[in-house]
Amino acid sequence: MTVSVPYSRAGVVSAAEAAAATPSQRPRLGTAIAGYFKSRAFGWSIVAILLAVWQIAATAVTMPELPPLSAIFTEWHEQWASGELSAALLDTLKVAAIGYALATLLGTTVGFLMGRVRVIWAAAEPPVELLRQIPVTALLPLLILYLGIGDQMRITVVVIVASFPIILNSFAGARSLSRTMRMTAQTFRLSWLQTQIEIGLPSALPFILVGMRQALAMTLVMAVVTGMLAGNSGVGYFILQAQQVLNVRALFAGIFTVAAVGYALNLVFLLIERRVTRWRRIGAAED
Amino acid sequence: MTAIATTQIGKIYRSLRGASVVALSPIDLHVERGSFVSVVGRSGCGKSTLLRLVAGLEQPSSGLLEVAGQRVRQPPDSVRYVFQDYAQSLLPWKTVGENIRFGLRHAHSHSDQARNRNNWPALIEASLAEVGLSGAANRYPSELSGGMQQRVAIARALAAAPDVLLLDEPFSAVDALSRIQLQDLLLRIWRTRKLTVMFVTHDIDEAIYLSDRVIVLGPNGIGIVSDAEIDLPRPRDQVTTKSDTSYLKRRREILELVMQTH
Repeated sequence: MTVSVPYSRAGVVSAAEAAAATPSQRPRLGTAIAGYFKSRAFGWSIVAILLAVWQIAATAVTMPELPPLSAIFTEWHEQWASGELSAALLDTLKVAAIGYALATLLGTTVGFLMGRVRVIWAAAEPPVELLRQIPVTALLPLLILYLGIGDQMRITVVVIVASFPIILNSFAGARSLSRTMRMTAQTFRLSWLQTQIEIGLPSALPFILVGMRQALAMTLVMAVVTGMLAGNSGVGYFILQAQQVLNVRALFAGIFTVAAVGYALNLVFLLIERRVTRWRRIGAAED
Repeated sequence: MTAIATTQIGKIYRSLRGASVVALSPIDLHVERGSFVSVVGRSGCGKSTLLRLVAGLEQPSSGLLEVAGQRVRQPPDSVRYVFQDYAQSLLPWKTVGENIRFGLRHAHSHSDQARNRNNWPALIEASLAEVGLSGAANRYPSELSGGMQQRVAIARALAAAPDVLLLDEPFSAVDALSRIQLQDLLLRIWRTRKLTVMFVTHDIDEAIYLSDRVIVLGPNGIGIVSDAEIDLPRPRDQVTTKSDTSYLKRRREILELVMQTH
């Protein structure tokens, strides 16, 4: 889940390391090329090349199952302008947003309290571990039976799937609170609630965010897939429909939309995460 | 006047196998108000346990503890504690200024000046100046060296205007030169604020240099084996005090005692 964390920011870089990494002479062409291969620009170039190959190949040879990118883009634009695709996307995002918010609330509360209150851990650990083993697909028939095929069922699926990574990481974060930090709270006579809010949650936050990011990817997948299975709404249904009428261009338009939205959501998440955990990346000064 | 008084205070832990482990045999200890008392001894002698008991961080298995004439049931407002592990004691997600603000918010102070939030920015800057860190309020602890972080922890403790300062090996994770500076800083603060200080260390030189009184705890929690007055003149100086013949005599006596009993 850490592939999109920029390499240099994966750990805290101390001032000494940063100084050591800065070359004394002006950057030469060789260093610029090495820098390119170590940055994400390299990967984006590969994507661009693959798309170019696709465009050229699909234009040269007419294949109904592989339309040229330009045709896909035209189709995408039409579907978007007609409101077909945009409405489907909005529907998927609505389910994703509600489900994700509920999963975050539930996951953080359950996971954090499991880590801080022994009785809650004792009560919650067995059911959580049991439920975690069940593939959500196995629950689907039951959920459809109980909740129908509407938003309620879709949101429930998102909550079930997205809660677990948040529970597990919040638990780990709550457990990571050091003895010294707990005693610090004690010397300042913080109440139990104050200790959790002022010390427990902030110190667990980096863990909680890791869980939330894992959950974010699952959320979008589940919001799309449930639309497909229930067969009535969202981008998933849009893609399914395109397949049924053999509109391959619309099919690709739907897939690309999901990829772009997923990428954008992850990017936004990373920006927020960097902002709220800024203190973790500041290196130690030398004596 | 007595600032800290313990009567047969002791601590017994129950090990995982159910056996009783004596962390500290019952001891009597009276610390005069305004004095600087150090507790030395090897690891496992119970010196940190004693300090945590005095701080109200742990409940004694036996005995009575009084701070400023009041029986201790929870960490007293007039007592502040400085931990060895400053990186875990300061809140790393808060800036230096916010850490001290945290200290003020939870000071439970009776002084009107400290209660009024409008005074806090000035109080924060004043306590940073007191530890020689003027202008560092907006930096994060991780941007500071170990010695500077421990200064912030001391400033946060002082922000609550305590009468008693308890320090548990506060300078042992700091490099030697910073340690010397911190020792003199602590002496200056102790004198100007008229604090009562209880200082736990395994460094005998540090204990003698700083203290009015050095208490040696024996191994395995057996209790006090020596309680020596240090009558070296004040203010003390890192060079002249440490070459004073009476300093060297004291050092020899305590070192011999620690070597014998351990």
